[in-house]
Amino acid sequence: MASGKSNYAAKATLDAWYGSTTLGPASVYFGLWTSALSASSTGSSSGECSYTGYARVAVTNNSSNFPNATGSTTATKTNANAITFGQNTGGASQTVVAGATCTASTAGNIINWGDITSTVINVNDTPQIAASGFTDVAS
Amino acid sequence: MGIALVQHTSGQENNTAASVTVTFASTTQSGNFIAALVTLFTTNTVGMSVADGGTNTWAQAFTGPHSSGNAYVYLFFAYNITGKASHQITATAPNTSYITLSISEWSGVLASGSPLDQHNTNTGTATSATPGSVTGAVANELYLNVMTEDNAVSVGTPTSGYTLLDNITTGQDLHSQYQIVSGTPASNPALSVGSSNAWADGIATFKPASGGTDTLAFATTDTDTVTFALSDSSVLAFSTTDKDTVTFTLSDQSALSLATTDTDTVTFGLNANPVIALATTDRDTVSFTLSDSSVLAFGTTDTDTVSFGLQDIPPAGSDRGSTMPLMHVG
Repeated sequence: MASGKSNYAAKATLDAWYGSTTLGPASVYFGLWTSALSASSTGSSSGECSYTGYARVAVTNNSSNFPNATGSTTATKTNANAITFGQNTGGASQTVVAGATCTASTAGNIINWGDITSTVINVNDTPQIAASGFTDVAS
Repeated sequence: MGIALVQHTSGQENNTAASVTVTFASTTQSGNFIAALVTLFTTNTVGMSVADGGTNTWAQAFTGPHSSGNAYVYLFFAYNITGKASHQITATAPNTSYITLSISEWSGVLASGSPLDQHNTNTGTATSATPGSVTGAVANELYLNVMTEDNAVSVGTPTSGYTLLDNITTGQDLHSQYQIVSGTPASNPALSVGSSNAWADGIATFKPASGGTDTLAFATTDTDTVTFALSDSSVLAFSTTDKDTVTFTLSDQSALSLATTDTDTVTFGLNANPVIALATTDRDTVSFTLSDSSVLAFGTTDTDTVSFGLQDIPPAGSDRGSTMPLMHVG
């Protein structure tokens, strides 16, 4: 009578969130934070980047941008293309420590979040999440 | 990204020739920026030029101010350079002179046009040499300050926020410091000459390159491990639905109830007088140890295996003082 979610189901769950609009939004919005996030964080949680030129990046939620989840023991979903944020054109740098996928261009809910190695976004710098730089692992 | 010092070296000519050549230790990189700081002592015709064998084009940040004692200071630069191995820089005066040359290679400086922004110069005899104030027009510029004086004196510590680049006290002395600023601060850095020597001082600011790419990455996982502890009379109730691992510790008179539904792993320890109640519904394996006067109640419904050990005073109705290593209920 043992039970559990199969790897197939884990993949299907991820594929329903990313790569389709079955569960996920029409676009997934990637955001950057200067303070740590947690499971209780929302898209309105304080600490989102505010440097001049910053905005969340909208990524159309389709299988081109989020190919089907992969893996045999765990299911992994990742981004197919680089996600490039606006250039810091202001007078001050900011330090990014966390990233999130959100349901809206501002505020909204957070779908997934994760720590980012502390990175200073200097003036004139352009932050970018490389292809496969975002991963969501389920089991 | 941002501006960064790549390498730096210096050399001198002490009144035996009209020029001095200095070679970078490492290959210079194309696209970078080179600053050449020159100090000169002469009573003859004044003038100075800098070149690197025609590899790059050199410009002058400011015309050399001179002290009352004929000590001159210059700042030359080349941007978006063509790099090369054994890169030599030569400073040449009109006549045999005392010449000191400091060369530095920088990355992250604007390469698409002249990076020179602001400059200022000053001369004096005060014990604190200052070039005059500058305020960069663009955030995060390189502020580069060079000073010479008539008598060789160590300048000691740099101005707060600055890093000392040169403190050459032989030949025609050359003192320099730099700061890669945040924002666009006004700055008039001072160097202490310690006595009333005549000095000449200059500063220039250089713009940063228009940004690079900062690569970021983040990962999320649905297989989190949760660990927590209860104290006093806390009540905890939860259920797990897949293969999560849960570890917890109870103390005092905590009450715990839990339900497992598949192959979850549950590990816990009891202290003092805890009360624990649990129900298993399939073939889960639950292992635990009770000590002191612990009370345990549980129900099994199929072929679960339950293993436990009793110590001290076991619950009423059990075989007092014995150890019951295994009870199999099917």
